[in-house]
Amino acid sequence: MRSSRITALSLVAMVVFAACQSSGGPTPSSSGATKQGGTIIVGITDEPDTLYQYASRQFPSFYINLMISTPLLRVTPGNRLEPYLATEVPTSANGGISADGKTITVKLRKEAVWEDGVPVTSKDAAFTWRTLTAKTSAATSTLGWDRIASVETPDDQTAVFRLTQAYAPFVSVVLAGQFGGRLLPEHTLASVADITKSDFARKPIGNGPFRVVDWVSGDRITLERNTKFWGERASLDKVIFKISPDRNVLLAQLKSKDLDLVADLTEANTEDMRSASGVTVATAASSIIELLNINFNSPDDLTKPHPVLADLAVRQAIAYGINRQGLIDGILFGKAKLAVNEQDNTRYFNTDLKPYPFDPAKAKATLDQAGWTVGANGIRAKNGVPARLQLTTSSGNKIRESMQVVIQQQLKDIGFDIVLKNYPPAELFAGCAANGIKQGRKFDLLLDSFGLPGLDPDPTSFWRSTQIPDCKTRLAGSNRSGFTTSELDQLLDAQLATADDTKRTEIIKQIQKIIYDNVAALYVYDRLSIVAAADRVKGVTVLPGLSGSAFMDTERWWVTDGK
Amino acid sequence: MGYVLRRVTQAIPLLIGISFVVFLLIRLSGDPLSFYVNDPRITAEDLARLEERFGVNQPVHVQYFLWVSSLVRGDLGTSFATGQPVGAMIMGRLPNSLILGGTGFVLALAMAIPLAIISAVRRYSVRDYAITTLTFIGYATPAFWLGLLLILVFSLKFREIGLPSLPPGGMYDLRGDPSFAGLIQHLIMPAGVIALIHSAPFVRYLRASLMDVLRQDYVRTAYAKGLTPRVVLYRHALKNAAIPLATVVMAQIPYLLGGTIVVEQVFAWPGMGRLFWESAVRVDYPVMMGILLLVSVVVVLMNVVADVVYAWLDPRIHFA
Repeated sequence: MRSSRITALSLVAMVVFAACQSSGGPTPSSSGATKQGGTIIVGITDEPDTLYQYASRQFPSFYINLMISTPLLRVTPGNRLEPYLATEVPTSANGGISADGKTITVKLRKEAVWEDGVPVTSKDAAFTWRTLTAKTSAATSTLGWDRIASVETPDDQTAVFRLTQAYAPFVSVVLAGQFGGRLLPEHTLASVADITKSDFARKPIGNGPFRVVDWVSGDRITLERNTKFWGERASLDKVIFKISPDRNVLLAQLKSKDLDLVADLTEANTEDMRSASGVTVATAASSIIELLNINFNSPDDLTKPHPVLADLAVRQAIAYGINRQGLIDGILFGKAKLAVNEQDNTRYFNTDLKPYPFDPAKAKATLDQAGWTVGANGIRAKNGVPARLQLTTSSGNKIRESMQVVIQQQLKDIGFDIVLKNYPPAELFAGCAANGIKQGRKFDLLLDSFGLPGLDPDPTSFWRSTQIPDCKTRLAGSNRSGFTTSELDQLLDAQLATADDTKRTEIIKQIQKIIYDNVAALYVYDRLSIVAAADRVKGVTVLPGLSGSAFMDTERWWVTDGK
Repeated sequence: MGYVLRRVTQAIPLLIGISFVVFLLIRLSGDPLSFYVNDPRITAEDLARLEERFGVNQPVHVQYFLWVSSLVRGDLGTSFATGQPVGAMIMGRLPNSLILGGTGFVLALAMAIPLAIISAVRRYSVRDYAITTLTFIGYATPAFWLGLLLILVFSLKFREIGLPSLPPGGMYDLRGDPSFAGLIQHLIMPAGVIALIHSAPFVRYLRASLMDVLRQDYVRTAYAKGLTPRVVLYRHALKNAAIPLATVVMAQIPYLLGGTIVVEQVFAWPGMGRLFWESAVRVDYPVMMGILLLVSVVVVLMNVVADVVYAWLDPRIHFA
């Protein structure tokens, strides 16, 4: 068991390495020849809403927070955790996690200080929990934090988290990762009634290699080296986030070296950027996956099974009938990886599962066998129900719209009647209150994306029966396919309560197999994390499966000219 | 004076009506919680807490009433997305929009007036046709396309071949301190785009009315008295010809506040148009409402001002 895990890890590490190599991308600067000083200008299209990261909904805000605050545990290449603000990763072996999995003890570094020089203590950890879970909290999500019953602080360096029940994702959700593990300074925020409305939202106090010095609305956010930083001193003097809302202009500015680095590029931009002189592109598979959501219930009456899609043979035929690799080659210039599921870039991936091959003959045979016979009009039907489906996606998304047309044709070829029905994103992705199409499950097939929100592989929100939204009794939840079995529910609960990582991995692999065998969704491709930087910028690493990974070790960024 | 007062008083119910319709329309435009719903980390409890926090769990008429009652107290509310007061967010962007729009507007007039005069005086000449063609091109040119083209040529290509180039976006230099000279440099292209596109209607209006005026009896009389064409044109004809233009110009002023969205977007200008666009994308009701209210007030006010200016320019018009 142990050795298989190591293999999986080294595989991931190889992916990182390959990703950097194949693109000639920036590689980690371990050579020691880093120059000190200089400024990097990062181009972003969306201005952060707030820099209070737990209330923010925008990526750039979270990039900046990765630079100004250090998580208790951080992610290293290979997606392992290493202690950062904490002195060690809590495990059952070192006593950090109690036998029943309900008590987690974290030791903080003595030397850690906030940017104003005040020491970071366990009281800050307790304060963070209280703030996020308060009744009037502005936090977007309290996932993980809501499992804490109390936080004890026996001394300034020790925080003891007591959970209401064993929760395996605790370490990776609350203590680490992109979203968690960052503490709030009690000494500046204790008397603040609403953090989003305070100065902290515009100029937060952090404990990372950089600190925010200025935010000019609509124009830029300036970060400087935090001279009081307790860890590795940042090489750069300054990092400026320049807001340039038009993507075309943003790319032109990168080419002209008005900008040094752009992180949120799409697959469609990569060719253009690769051909630009003096710009280096680094890519890695991201945690976001494009997929075809399949509705197991009738969109007209969600209490009933879907007249066509509830049949496993139909779903299998769809899987065999769509040439997904062809979509990637034809529409994305082959620049993306065919996806199996949302775990396929993590060490939790069940490598026995291979993508369904493109095999229209098998698709037809499967449908024939299941009694879906071809009628006079070329469209299949079973018991008088025609194989007619709506294929939905977000209008205006060119990649999805192109794929949609190809999928329509390929499914027609095996006897489906596919009607395209698209909605603008505002309507498609709205919540129940605004009659959202996705949340209200008013679709047959929906081409869009999802992804694990962080490091942890827990897929509960996508597949548990309690996560099926219906807009009447349950407004939240991400199981929009409505697929559920009691075995699946049990496994989902079991992996949450299993602290042992090896055992947990096995359960998660079983879950993947159920999703795969039932074709509960048809995954299309892993989206890429794409970072393009001017050649003078060095030390930028992009990790697979982690959004924003480029901003996780900015203290190692440097510029060759020192300017 | 009494007239102005009456017009302003009449505007109040109008504004209340506008605000209600706009409020309803914005509510129908999207769901501020859609961002959260699509985050798999959000639990049902999180959603309920956020609805409560934003006050969107109440019926629409209650929300409207709450919004109006805080407005009466001079409070435009708080942005859902940023947590900042809407008034402060708007005031942070308004001056930038006025700098850009104002410069563009003045430039547009400075270009339009001489062109219209040449066009009207030498009507149906080659020059007239050239100007007419140019103004139609100006009418038809999309701002984003022109903006991108200018950036490509004057920022990127010029720099590539070693000519003095213009900054491709923003309001101030990123690597140095903000300066007035830097501001002017950053202003040239976006203000130029606004001027080019907006001068077109001005030229058309002024040309038409000038041609009208030049046919009037009093102009012939002026010529008959032996006045030079220059004096006839500038002292007698132009002032009267400018009357319809004044109305057009007044009607365009509210545009400066929010109508430069496209130009602000392309040139990364931190103005109010962009703030509106971002708020629309974020379904940030309070900010959208604040900006629309401000624009509505200015539209109504400018209509009143246009009428007054009209009377002042043209003594034949009297308001009782």
